[in-house]
Amino acid sequence: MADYKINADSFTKAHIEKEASEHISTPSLTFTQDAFRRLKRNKVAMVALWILIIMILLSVLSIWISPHNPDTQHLKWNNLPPKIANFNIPGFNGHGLYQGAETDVYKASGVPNNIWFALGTDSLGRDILSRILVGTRVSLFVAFMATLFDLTIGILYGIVSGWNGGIVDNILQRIIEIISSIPNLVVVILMLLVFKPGLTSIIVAIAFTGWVTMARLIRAQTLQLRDQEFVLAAKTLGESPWKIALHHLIPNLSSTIIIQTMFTIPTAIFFEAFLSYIGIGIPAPTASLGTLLSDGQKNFRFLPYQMVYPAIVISVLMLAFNLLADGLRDAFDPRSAR
Amino acid sequence: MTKYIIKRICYLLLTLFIIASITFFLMKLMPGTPFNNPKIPAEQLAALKKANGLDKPVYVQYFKYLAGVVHGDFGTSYQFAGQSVSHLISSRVAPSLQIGAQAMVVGTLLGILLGAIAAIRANTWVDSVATIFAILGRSIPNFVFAALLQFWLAFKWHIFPIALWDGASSSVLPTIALAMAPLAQTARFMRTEMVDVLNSDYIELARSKGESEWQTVAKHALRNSMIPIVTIIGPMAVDLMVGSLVVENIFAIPGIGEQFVRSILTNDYPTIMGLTMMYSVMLVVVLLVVDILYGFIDPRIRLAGGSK
Repeated sequence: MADYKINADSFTKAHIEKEASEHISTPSLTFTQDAFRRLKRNKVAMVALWILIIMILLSVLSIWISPHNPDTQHLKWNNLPPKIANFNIPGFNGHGLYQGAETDVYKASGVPNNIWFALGTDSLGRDILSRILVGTRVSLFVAFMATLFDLTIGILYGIVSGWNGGIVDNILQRIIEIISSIPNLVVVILMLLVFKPGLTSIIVAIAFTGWVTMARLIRAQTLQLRDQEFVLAAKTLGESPWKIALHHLIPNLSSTIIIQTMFTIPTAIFFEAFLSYIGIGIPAPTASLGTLLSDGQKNFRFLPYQMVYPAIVISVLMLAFNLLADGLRDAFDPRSAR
Repeated sequence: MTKYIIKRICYLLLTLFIIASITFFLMKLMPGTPFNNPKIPAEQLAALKKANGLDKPVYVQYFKYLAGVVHGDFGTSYQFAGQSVSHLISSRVAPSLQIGAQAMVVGTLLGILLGAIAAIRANTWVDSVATIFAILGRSIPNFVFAALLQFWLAFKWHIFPIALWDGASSSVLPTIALAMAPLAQTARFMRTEMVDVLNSDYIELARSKGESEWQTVAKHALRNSMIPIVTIIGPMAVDLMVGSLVVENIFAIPGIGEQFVRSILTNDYPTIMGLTMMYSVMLVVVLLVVDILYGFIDPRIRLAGGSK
């Protein structure tokens, strides 16, 4: 072994740049920004998000642009199969089985050559595609409104319960315990029987049963938050409880709120469809995904397209919401990610 | 533990009392009576009301109703003249319970299997397929699924009877349709639990002892991941009850779900009240049993409950 001599000359001072070491190379992200960054990397969730955006846009745009008027009945042109222009696409060429033989139903019903219904017509001769667009809009409206009420009641109840603690909390929690042991379905059905059926009563009924989960989650989080330093600081500075709730609690609860909202919406869509399907939901002339499914069910065996397309739409809608909700949960709470 | 159970039973009774009261007063709020046919003469109407106890003040009716509920007497059906509601319900319980139980067992077992396979092969294509399956099961409404099953398996391919209730083969399709929700829920839950368990120290120990992967999973992982599934039995029971309303209707099964829908559509209030109570009792009892069961299976929960 050669003998090494280590002396002071072997070393040189590292060059330290004061400025550079303080420099932040990546932009600092807030919690929410960080979550959305994670969400953007989740391909499945992003696809779901785009599908939702497209579906919402289409259903809203159909107020102005719609292939046909969704309420116009062409009684002579009822139960027409799907047909897209004069392209001869199998399944969309306007042909159907009549007494065992394939016939051009459009010709048989005397429909002019330039008129076609992309997804066919129902038993009253209304265009199914236009009705699906309207139905999606109505279903989404019901779901969003119900979720909005859910949120408001749930957050208020949860924060009041968690913030006050003691007797107030005790009473509020016992009330929740009792409400949650009544089957949701039973409450919704009873409410719909008492109120006049319609959009408002459906929204109220769904919201009335849905806020309990939200209130529970918010309360649990508020209990943790209210003992933290920043809340104490705000209290010491003399902020009113309402301001503390608005400026300090709700921003910190936002991830819980967003995730729970995304899980509530598909549930509300399902409930609306379910109620309309069994016949106590949205009354007849209005289209919703539930009423379309229930109408389609009547002719399902012989004219399956009348039910299949609404079924696809509602399934894709619920799938997209569920996938996006999963993605959001993983993004906001990386520990829960698989 | 005994104290806890007694407390829970008291809550249960209170809950049922509140539900009974709410349904009673909601029914009083409903527009119309069974006798709102304008052709009925006044004297006859009075006689009918007297016969049904509707002439008495509301609070008397209320106490009479409560006393009836305690005895399992829900009055007479409006829809089927002279038939008592309790008789109507009890004659229809069996098919619903059968399909519900079958769906629960099939759904949970397949769900556990699917979830376990997904966890063992985590982040491979097997996992993806299982996950997609579970998400589809959660997203497709059960009545859509039931109608599709009926169309293809019964109407097109003639594998199972389309509807009606005779013999075991007619219970297959409704069972599959109802089992979808518990299957999806269990699979999802099982996968998360199992992934956690497979990463734990005692599984590492079992592997290092030289046990085969199969033995490790069967002996150690599966059992421990299955315990928390008890907690989702409650929500699954609710799903089954909701599902039974439409599924029984689609397959024309003479069960309580089908009766419920029919009573709603014909405004048969006494039957609706009876069935509401029946559903609530079933749900509340299931929730109680699950909680108690969980306390026995996992002593840590019992400790947490005791220290409260």
